[in-house]
Amino acid sequence: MAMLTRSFNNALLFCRLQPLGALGLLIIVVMAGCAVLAEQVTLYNPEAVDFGAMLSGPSSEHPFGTDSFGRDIFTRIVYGARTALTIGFLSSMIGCHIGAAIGIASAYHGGWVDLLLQRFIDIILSFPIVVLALVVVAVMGKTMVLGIDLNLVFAIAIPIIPRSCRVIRAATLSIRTQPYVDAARAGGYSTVYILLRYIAPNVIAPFLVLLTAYIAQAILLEASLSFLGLGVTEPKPAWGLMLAGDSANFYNEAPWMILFPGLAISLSVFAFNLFGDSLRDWLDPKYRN
Amino acid sequence: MGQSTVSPQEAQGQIGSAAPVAGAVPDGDCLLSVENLQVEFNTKRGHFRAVDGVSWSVNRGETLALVGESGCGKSVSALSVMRLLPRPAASIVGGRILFDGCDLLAESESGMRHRRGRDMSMIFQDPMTSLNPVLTIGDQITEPLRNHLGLSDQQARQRAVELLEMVGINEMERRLDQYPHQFSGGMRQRVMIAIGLACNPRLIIADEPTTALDVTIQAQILEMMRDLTRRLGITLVIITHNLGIVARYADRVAVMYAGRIVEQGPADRIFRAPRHPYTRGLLRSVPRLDRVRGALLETIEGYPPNLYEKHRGCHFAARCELVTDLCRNTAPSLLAYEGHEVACHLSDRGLPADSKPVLAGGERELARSDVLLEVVNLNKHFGGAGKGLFSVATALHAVKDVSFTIKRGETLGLVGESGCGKTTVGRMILKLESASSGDIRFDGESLITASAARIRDLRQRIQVIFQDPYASLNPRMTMGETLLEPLTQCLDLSPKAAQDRVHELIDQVGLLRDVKDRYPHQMSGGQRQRIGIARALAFGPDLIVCDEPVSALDVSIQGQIINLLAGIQAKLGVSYLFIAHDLAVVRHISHRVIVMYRGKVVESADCDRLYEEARHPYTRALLASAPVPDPQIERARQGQILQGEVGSVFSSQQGCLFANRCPMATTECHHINPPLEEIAASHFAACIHHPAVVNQRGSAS
Repeated sequence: MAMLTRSFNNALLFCRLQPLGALGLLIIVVMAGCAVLAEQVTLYNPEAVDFGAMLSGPSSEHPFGTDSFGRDIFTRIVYGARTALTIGFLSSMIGCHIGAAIGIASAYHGGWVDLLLQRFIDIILSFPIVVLALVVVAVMGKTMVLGIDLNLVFAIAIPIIPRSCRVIRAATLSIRTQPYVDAARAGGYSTVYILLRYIAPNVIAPFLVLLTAYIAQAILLEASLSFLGLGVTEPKPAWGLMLAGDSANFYNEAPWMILFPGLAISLSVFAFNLFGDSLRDWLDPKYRN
Repeated sequence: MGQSTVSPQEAQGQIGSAAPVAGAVPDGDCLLSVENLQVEFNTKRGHFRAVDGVSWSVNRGETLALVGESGCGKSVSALSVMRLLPRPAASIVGGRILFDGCDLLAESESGMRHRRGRDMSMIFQDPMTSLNPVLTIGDQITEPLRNHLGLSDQQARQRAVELLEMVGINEMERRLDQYPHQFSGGMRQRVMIAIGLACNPRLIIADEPTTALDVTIQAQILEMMRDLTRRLGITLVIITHNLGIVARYADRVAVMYAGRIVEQGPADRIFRAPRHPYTRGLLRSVPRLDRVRGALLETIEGYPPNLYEKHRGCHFAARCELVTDLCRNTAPSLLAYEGHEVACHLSDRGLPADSKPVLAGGERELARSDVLLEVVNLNKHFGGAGKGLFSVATALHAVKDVSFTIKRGETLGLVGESGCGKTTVGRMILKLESASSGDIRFDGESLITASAARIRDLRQRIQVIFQDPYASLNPRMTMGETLLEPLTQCLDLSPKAAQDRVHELIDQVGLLRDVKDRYPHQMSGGQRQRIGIARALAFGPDLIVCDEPVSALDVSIQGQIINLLAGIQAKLGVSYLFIAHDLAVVRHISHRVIVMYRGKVVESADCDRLYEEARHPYTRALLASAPVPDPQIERARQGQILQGEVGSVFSSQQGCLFANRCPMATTECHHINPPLEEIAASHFAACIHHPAVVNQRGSAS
């Protein structure tokens, strides 16, 4: 109980000190809520074709209009949030964490470990993102878990790893030479302890920025892969797919087909960035007086 | 411009005749006057007034020193003159700045741009970062000439050659086409001065111009600046925290404390008869080379006020010994007394005689038998044979055959200029760096051959205190967590026992227990360094390596920390390896002193003997270069300074490494590598001429 009240107080304090972050969090929560309760908040079936209502503009029946198959765009965006948020969040989390772990280990150990790891990272970096993801998807096929293609998540996470690794390695290199790390080494603490207690908390700022930025990247990458037919496939709703599919053919007649999925992507990216920035400040004792 | 140089005597005469009015501007030949300046900062942490009603002025051709500790507003008031304050954080909310009768605060931005570099120029602290690394020196010197004076490329280059010659840089033509990284720190500061002088400015503001430089280079640069400004009739404002520099070079002094001027007047008067308790405390707390060494340094207790909070009375009241109720409630104004101005309610009563006489002869006695640490022929190469795939093999021999011992309860001072290898020695003892060859024996046990597990145990017995107290604390941990960590991680104390021990440690270093919940950024430098000491003590060490533990601190705090270290030693019997560049500080705390130059030990002796009878010319030059806060001594002193700069650490030079700078070097010196010889009982020096040193000294005095 005491823990509950304390976390509630902390949440209140967060809202007061970081109003923008709280706004971001609110948007994320609403989106996630819609994704979970998609059946309850929408009126149509996302895959139901209605040629009578093809390409109709926003109206009271179809608030965001319909697409070239007469499917309700609002419904498809709500269902699409499931795919976008899960794939975006999961792959960014996986990619950034693995990258950060490699980056910290590589920078802290230095020497030949650093050399080998970094050359390996260079190899991954030398493939264009889409090509790399394409290869992974093509080789591994599909592994569906709870309606999410896990292999797609990995395919998107892998190109994120070297990028996150580079940034975190650079941050670690500068932290590693700080006297407080020397003091910890002189204290005889174990390497794992130093990494967890001294290095990791001090690279959290760039890490959070990376994490939120790559959620957006992951959603876009998912869109590209879907466009190439390797990600989510029609008729399943996904934001990227909605942007990429044949909406481009109708941008003159039905601009809402691009506008609303695009807005959904932007809004989610914006929300994650807002929240990420505030979380970074919140976790920094310097800005929490 | 053709102004005549005003000698210090004339300048004093003018001050003396000035009417005793608050904030009076000396009449006549005033070039720059700052009147009732108020500058406010708006930061994330809040709002504070960095400069609070400050007035100072400087006459043509005169040298004014703005003195004070960090955060006292001395740099801010000088940056206001240049209108270079950081925006939008800082804003000038009141006052006037008159330059030659014209109010700079009313000047347009383009008008100011026109003045900067032409009428007035500024020299910054760090010569390493204030030059653009991708432009040649020539480009950077000719820039103001082409911009402000509209000289052609050829004229500008000709003038640049003259300027380099003026600041003492040889081979001017060749040097002009070089880049900043090809210059040493001292040379870069000379270039900065050349840029400052380029357009014949009437005023130069130098913000801590030599703080980043070694003491022998500092003396060279300051001598040169004084000669040039005298010769060219340039008015100089030096901002510094070093009272020795003030005594040597300033005609007039303004002492600042927490955003206000507490005392200003002719340098001679301020040093001889300071009237403000802060000035007096500051002068007394400087460890000095020319005074008898006492057991304890005098200090000003407490810390400067937090300017984020509002203070009604005198800012110094909380630290002042003579404080009255009047001081706590009303801020004193700056009033003239006997030729200088003081802001103190008690100044008309005069200060009482020395309340705390220097404790002489309180020497700590040692049982000089038990060797704790023995360093034998220690060497360190950096780089060496290329380790990585593409790294270039460049051997840097940072430490060359260094040997010494530290006894239990003893303090060994390790002195030298930057890059001499003193810090590397400390890091090897801490096992933060591995030794290339040689042995380190701690309590009879070799640290070189010990197993990793054994090293982890021994580490608790060898602890460290770093130079930068902020960087040496994890910014994400509170002080309580920092101190608790060694107790629970390494010593396996129960939570209750660990808590008690944390309190004990906090008491031991003289802090209040509520610091436990604070983060490093919420404390002052002195408080952080106390926590650094407490953390080292938490392990219960036998030896503490103190790597420049006071050089990042203000003078009044320095004394507190040195006294604390001495007190802890007396109580707990720990040994210190005290690494520092400041000879006066080392003298105060050490039993024995070692002087290093370019990786080698050049002299070692018992502390008092080294300072009285230094035999190596380098040690003697170091002692002579350090300015003492007393204008009479400083002005009488001949500018006996070392020429040249420390050579490259990469070069494998034959013979004595000091030979190229040594005033007594002979041809032999360039061929013979002088061994470290015992020239008297436990006094070693590495100089083939050491008897001659003594003779020369004898005939000179």
